[in-house]
Amino acid sequence: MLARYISINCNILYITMLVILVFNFNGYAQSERLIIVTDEGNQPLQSVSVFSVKDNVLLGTTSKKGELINTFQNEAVVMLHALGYEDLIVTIKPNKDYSFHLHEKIDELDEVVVTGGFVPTKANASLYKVKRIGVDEVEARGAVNMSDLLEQQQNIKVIHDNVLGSRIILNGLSGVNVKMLMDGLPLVSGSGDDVDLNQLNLNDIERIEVVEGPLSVQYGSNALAGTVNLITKKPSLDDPWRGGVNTYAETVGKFNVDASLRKGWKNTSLSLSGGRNQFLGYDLDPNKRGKFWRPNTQYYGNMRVKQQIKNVAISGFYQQFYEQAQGLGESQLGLNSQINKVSQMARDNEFTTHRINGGINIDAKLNHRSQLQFMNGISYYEQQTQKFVRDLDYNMEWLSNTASDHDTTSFLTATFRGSYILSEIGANNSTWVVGYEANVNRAAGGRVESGSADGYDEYSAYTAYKWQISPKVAFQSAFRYTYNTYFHNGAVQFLGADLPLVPSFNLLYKPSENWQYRLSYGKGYRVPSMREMFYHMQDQNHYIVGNPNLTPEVGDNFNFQTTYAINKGDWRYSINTSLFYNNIKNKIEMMEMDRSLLPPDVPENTPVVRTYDNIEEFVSTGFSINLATEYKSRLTIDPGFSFLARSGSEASEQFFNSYEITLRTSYLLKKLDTKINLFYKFNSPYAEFAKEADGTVGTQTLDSYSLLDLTATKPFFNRKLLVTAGAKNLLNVTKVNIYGDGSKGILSRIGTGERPIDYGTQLFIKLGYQF
Amino acid sequence: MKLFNTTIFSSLLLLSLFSCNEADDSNTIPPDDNVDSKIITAELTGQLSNQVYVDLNTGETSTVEVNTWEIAFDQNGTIISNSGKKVALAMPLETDFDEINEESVQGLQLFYDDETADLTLTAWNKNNFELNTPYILDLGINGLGKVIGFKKFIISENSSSQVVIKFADLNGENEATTTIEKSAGFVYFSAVENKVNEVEPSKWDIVLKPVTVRTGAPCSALGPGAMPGINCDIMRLNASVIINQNGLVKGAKSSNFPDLEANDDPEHEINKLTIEDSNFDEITASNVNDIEKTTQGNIIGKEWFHIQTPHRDGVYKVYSHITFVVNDEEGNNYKLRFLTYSKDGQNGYPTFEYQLIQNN
Repeated sequence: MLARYISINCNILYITMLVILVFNFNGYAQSERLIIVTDEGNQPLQSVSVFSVKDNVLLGTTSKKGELINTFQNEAVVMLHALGYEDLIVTIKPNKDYSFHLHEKIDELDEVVVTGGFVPTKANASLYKVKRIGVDEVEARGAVNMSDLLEQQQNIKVIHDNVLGSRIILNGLSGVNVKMLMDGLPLVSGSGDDVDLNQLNLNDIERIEVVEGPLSVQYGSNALAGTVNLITKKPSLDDPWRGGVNTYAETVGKFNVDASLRKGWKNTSLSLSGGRNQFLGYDLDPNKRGKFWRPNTQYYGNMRVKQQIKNVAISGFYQQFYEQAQGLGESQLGLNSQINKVSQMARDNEFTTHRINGGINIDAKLNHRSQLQFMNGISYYEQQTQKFVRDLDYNMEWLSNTASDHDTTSFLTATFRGSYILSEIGANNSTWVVGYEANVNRAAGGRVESGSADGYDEYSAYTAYKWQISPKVAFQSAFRYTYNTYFHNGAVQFLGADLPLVPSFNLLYKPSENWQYRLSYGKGYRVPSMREMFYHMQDQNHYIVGNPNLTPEVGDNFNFQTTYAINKGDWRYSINTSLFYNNIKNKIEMMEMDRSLLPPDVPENTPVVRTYDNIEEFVSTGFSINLATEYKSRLTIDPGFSFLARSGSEASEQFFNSYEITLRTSYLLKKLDTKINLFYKFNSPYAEFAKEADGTVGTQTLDSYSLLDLTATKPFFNRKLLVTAGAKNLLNVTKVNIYGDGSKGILSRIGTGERPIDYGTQLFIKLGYQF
Repeated sequence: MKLFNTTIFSSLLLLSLFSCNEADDSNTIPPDDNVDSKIITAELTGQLSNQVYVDLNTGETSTVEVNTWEIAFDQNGTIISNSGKKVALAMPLETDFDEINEESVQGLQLFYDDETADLTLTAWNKNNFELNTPYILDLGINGLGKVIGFKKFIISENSSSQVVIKFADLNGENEATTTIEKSAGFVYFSAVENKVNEVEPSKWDIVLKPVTVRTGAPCSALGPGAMPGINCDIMRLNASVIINQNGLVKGAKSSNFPDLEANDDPEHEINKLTIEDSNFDEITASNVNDIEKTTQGNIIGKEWFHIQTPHRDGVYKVYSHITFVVNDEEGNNYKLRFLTYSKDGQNGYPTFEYQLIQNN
């Protein structure tokens, strides 16, 4: 599109820029030609930035009256940019008056989503309701990692654990049932089978897409509760050098810095980014040496290259993440056997984590209606645990001489996926997709039982036909056939056919521009993880073993969603409702182990004795309703309510209910060019249930709590510097009570009592400088 | 730009401030290098699987695995059970040895030796043990804390020269009859191995060992709702120090803060005391005879340390301000104070310092 415009000489442009600056500073005026920028209501827009499209140089900003003097000497293509408005690219000729209207940014329905669809689709045409969390929200929250970002999302809980980090719970199902993807490729989880959300940094992320409900046809195992897809920032072709530096500080003791650089040539693009995060650790009891939130230092780097060769785009990416975390023990006066002196001694765990993601994607357009896509990626996770004996008085340290105190465990997932997409079939542009996926999983290390299979592979073929019956109605049926090298037992099957076939059916009905109805049925499944089958952890306090006899989880999910959007004057409203029913057979849960079955070398009094087992049935059902209100892009008020009921064989058909209330609101102070954001979430009491040895249903209930954040975002230096500052957790929630007679809960894993939920009120500031 | 630079700079400055390890400033005093002082670390281990006998006169220690015996006999007819591994005695309702089966043990009260180690208060002696009557013996746990099981048995002779004991599994298997020859002191018998094991050295003053202690309510107080080991009579092992019960060794406890009782609140006054508050140096030949001594087995006992809250952290406070006096068979007075309960950060390794109190 840009090629249409006449390019101008750079030198002339610089001179022009200088002239503008001079004119601006001198307030020099003659019979000027004006560029006037207004909104759709003809109200002048102040502080609209005017950039040269060619080299991204700022040429000026509009005055209070929305005016900028036209001092252009040559014809130029410029971009008008203002917060809350869509960018406008126009051609300016010298000695002419112009008047432009900027359109306020409409909501996300028009934006493109990729999760769940086999081809990128506009959100309102997607067969799935895709929740998009954009960079605006990341900025407004001052979010550094996924844990910060997801904490206040509807239907999501983030549980902090001093050993396993921060875990996601989506619609009452824990992280193992949530597929974590990066650009559609699965991320390997961590030691605890859940991805530690603190290890997923957002600096390279453009947006997050969340789809609730199974996407097993698209992504295979694990996508039972839902899918979280991290979409990375991609460099574009023909783009000048751009980059930025972000710094972040939070009073709890977080200090982060990251930088990025990208450039697009004619057929090649490149982006590089990296950063360092430091967290000093935090405990609600300041006297404790060991912190509930462990201190850690993270380093990470990302590289992305894309090469366009005619109709073929090849892109490669490599990401490396390194974390050093400390699990400090409490110190006590003790004997130092090395020097035979009495001093303050402690035993500390040092955790070193490496994550590597890499891959190559190929996208080939065969002709205007057919294309081939290949995605090949690996995701590797390794954690080394070492126990050090430390003398705090004499500053000595040495490795503990007990072998079981040390461990290195690694997990690898490699995914190879290819698909052929044929579109524009029939009168209404139907689409057909056929593809394969190979998924290789490997595990190694001291905490994976020796002699066990070192992994399993999964080979799948899938096909989907999106039948666009009319412009208003689309119906998709999709199937995946899966062969797993470990599970041949027909646990995953379709209509009793004893074939490992996973189906999904989706209907989208759009009677008008205002309404969308979505109805879907999907089968989801999850094969037991390496950890659930082969994990072996034994130390003084734990005996946790996998169960090689586990059978896969299989779920049926029904979903009905409506969206209604309307503009009324300066107001825009949209209402989303969603109703779902989920039934999972053979759900895998961690169970208290029968102590009489302990092997002879395990002490009877080991505090934590656990294994995994299938439970017969788990049912969850619920609804949510969301209202999004927007006034002139200045004010947004988005309240939401969701209700969740869970039951199943472990609950003796008794239902356990919980609900959430969310409110997100923002207001743009136009004069100050500052956006104020407020995020609120109320979590009702939430019960975990399990059958006890005597057949009764025991519960552990996490009491209700609310989270409230208040932040402000303001640009400086012609929008090159964006400052976000604010307060997190203004209600100062720290510990929340867990009560009940149950023996287990996925929330606590450590029993009842007060559970640390958050650090309490903290202030933060984030500075983002972009050039 | 200035603001930007300032922020970056101050962030970096802050980062650099926090990058180093913080040093813990506790006022620790290593034991002084007095040549008269001896320091002994008893390797009970984290699972409390050892018992360590100490002869203060020679400074010799003898470390024995706890799980090498269940019951021991002396020439006076005393029977002790190994409270270091939760050995207990139960009295079945059946009077016929052969009628006792696996169900017989259900609901029976378990009797343990008294914590004081008083020979008249052992599980056997306080229950008026009788010959030719069937009993059930809980064999306690092994070195890894695993329950070993039960044996039924009958003692048909317990004279000054020998014991004759018949025992079998509750289901009647592995029946055996053994005669155990007695000698000076106690003979230690392992019903698991059906043999006598060497446990006690010929001469010792104190033994550092685990003892079985009750936490929670006694089951008898709960009535029908009682579930032994679950809601009542939860028996745990705790490290303790017992003085030889041969009647010739005596002990005493002395401190400048006799009214302060052991406590698990780290903020409590007693838990703020350090070795600086010790009266160790003040106890000398001129006043040691003023301190009243007793043969009470657990006069040292568990007095020298206490777990601190939160208990799950496993941090113990060692009361090094307390001085214990031990008067041995030869009449020598020794003063002791405990320095630590852990070695290299691991609990179960009590270390104490002691000195012979000599006339100057």
